[in-house]
Amino acid sequence: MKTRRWVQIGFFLFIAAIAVNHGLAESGGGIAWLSNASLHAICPFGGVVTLYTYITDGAMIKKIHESSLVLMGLVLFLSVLVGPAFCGWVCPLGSIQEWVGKLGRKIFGKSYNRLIPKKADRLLGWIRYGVLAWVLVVTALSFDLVFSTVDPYFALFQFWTGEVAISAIIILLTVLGLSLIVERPWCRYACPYGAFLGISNKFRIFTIRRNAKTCVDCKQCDSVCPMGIEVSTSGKVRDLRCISCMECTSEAACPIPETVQLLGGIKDEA
Amino acid sequence: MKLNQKSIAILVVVILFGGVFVSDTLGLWKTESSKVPVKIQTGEFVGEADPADIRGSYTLSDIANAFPISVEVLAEAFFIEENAAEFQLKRLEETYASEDDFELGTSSVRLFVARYTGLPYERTGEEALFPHTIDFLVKEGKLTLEEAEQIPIMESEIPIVYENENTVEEEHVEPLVKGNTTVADLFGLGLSEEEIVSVIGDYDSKGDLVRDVCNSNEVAFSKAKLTLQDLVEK
Repeated sequence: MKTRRWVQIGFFLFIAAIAVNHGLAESGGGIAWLSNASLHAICPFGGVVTLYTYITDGAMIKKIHESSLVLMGLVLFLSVLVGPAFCGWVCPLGSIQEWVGKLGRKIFGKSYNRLIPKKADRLLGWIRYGVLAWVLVVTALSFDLVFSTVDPYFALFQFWTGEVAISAIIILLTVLGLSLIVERPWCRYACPYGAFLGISNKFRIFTIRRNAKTCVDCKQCDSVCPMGIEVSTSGKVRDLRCISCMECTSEAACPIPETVQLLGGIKDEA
Repeated sequence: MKLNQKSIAILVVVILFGGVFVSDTLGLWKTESSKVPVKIQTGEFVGEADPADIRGSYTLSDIANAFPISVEVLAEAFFIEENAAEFQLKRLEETYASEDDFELGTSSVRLFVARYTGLPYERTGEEALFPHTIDFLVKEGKLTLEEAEQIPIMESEIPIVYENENTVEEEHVEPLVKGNTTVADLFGLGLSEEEIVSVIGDYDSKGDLVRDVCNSNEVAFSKAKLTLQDLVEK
């Protein structure tokens, strides 16, 4: 199994265990050596949504804690280095969409991921910036965690509690359903945190680069990209949707050694 | 410099877990609320703690730290009998479940703290209070009679004995006289005209609510209720 898959499974189980432990701790039980933090406390996006209130007022949005700000800083640092690796390697919602997508590939074969035209796919990708703007503005105005009412990540790890809004459960089920026909639909079209982290692709230190001199134009890199990026036409991959999953590299899909790689520095190989 | 999948995996794990470890060591890793309400942004009370930001995770001592109100006043207002300082507001909703359009919970505490301290707070209409709490606010001149009439009343007053974070003992006392009890109901309970008037004062009509009669005669409804209950049970 690929290294990334192990990391994804590890983080998925880790977050799930903390979420369950939080519930157990609230009812007087729980595992002592494991964190029983709330899901909000270990979500780096919480740091983003509370940032304005924290700067202007010195207070946190309801249910968000300092740990979210710490995680936001750490994930930002990681993103400046290697891009939104959080999305491709850590985020449990991204992982579960990928796993459901594998089932979709088996069911729909070559039709999988081809139901939405490329142009529409690109345009729909901008919706997540609208979602990001909406979340930031409404949260700043209301001092309330409005996103939790539609947050499929929260629903994924809290669906057994009474704390999840039905709208969030519906969105989670819709996302999982869509994952059978489109890879990572939430990440592509709606995730505000993915939109936020995606900006780091414009200035990240280590970038996915395609060596045009050795590239045989087989387009393997395009077909494996979970975010629908055309790596085969890029020199440096600066696309806002890149999640640094490394699936397109010569280590994974690309059949030619040292052709698609994650390289540091500013020299363009294209 | 080139990075492969293993390098990314190591970077992810080291940065995230290492960062959490370092921040925890520095005392920056806090996964629980700091219990500091946001400040009021505009108007006469700018810079004061905002009652609207009181949260379910707050204990009575958290509120007492943030607002000019004592734990004792809060405990009395919400019938919390023991270990009141450590009582978390979200437990109010668990204790006083209501199927109506209102609830006695965190929002009720927001309203009470706001009216008690004189800080601004816009009612949503869902915040219920106990009759004795409303009476107390009226008596203290912190609530107008007009507003008192608009606040939903939570009838079942259950003293909460708060033992620890996971134990709430309840002793249910079903009051005979409630906010919707009329003077006619008192007669129905077997009380005489003299007894009724001696407790609540003069009334206009038997259809009047006991609570309204008490308010118009400046009689504390919470005390009148208990006296009437004693008379009935005699």
